[in-house]
Amino acid sequence: MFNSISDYFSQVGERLDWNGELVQCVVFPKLFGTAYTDLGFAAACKDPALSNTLFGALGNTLIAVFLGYGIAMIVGLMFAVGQRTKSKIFNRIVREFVEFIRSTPLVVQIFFVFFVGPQFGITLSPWVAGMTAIGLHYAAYLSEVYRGALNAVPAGQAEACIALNLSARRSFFGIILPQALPFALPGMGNYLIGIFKDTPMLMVIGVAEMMHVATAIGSEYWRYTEVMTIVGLIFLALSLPTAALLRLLESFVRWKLGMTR
Amino acid sequence: MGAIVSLYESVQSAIKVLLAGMLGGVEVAGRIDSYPEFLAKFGDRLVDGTFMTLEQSLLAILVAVVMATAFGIGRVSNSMLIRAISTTYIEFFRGTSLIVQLFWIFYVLPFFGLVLEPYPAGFVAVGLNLGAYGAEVVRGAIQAVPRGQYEAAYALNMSPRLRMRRIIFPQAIVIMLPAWGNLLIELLKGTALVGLISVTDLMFQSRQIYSLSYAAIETFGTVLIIYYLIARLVITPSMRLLESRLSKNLKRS
Repeated sequence: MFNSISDYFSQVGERLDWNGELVQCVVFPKLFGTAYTDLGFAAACKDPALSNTLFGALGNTLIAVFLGYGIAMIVGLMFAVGQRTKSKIFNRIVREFVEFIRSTPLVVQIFFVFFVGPQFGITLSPWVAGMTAIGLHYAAYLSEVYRGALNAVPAGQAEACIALNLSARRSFFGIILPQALPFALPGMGNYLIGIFKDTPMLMVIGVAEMMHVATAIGSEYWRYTEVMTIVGLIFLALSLPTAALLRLLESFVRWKLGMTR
Repeated sequence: MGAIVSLYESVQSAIKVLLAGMLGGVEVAGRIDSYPEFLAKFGDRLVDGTFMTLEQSLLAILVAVVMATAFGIGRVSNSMLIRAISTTYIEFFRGTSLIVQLFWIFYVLPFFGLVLEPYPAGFVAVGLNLGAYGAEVVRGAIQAVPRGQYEAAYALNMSPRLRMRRIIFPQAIVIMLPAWGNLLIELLKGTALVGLISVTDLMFQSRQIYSLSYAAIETFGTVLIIYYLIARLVITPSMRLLESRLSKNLKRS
């Protein structure tokens, strides 16, 4: 599959331009790593040089998505629980912090995390800084989703836990959280796609994800047309089916838990 | 128009003068040691950047509202062609990321003979992107107008167009306003990306200031706070005001 796609693009690139003029094929091999096609996909993956191609960078993008989303899921839960504590002042502080993160741009936050560290003698690599920033940003979003979902669980459930003398931890993780999950799923799915679409912002601090490599390829040959178009198509090709899949998953969970609309 | 532009420019310079007056006693040496010094040296750039961000946001809001209205109504059209076009627009702009769209408009459209300066390319890209999200909001609001309103308009023999203009859309506006509040904050955040195609907005200025001063926490901290204040003190209250104004006439139990 990989071989045929890359071969296809390299041939098209060699023959004609979108204006119908003959051009040298300089862009397309770079995108999919045609040089490796004889060795096969597995060999190509092992070669570090592949990360200079768009196809290798797609892997980096996906790694960034899953790392960032993992951080966001855990920290987001902390933010959500932090707004339900007994101390009103603490709840208020967490709430304002979440609001602050939610209403400021992610790019500036990435810059902030990346550049503020060195001022205090802590140097973060682009990956660490980028994952921290994107994870925190989406944690703020996910905490809103969790908060809504936790509030949607009937109050009687928490009261029943108290009546049964369950510990706070057991009632939260055993009773409340599992019931909140179906309410949280649609929002969580949306933000998974959201984080995927926001990973290009990591290019500003030099994380080699798709858009970073695409602009590098573009500026190397001073031709952005193909690269940008293909990056756009890759985004579409991944995000639209994922959205459809998530909707399926959502209805499956609802059905499995016996919830009907 | 000229009067508005000159008023706008004088407000901008008045703020700079005010800032300079407040920091009058601060002397700026080569190295920056304190926050007042930082402001005295880079305050002008921050003010310029803030106004550029506001301009871009305002123009992007115009584009977004027009696109959202057109394609949101198109999404519930009876014509399959119009529905298909609207769905394509919405799915395309919601399915790819804003940076890709921005770069595509800036770098690829010249290939097809349409050269845009960074300034229009910036707000057009942000407006088109958020317009797609807005179109879904508009569609949802139109579908949330009670069924009886459609039937009543039908009973009064209104044409579909008149029904939409006089009965459905005015009620849909009230329903969609809270969602637009969130969307406008997203739009403001989206305009931070136009700095990447060298529009001199707040984000662009922050990068410049950082490369001149290496004062990261002052630079990016100030910029984050400015964005937060725009969102919380300009966008949210004005949406609240609009909401209370518009829903006053629509009393529904």
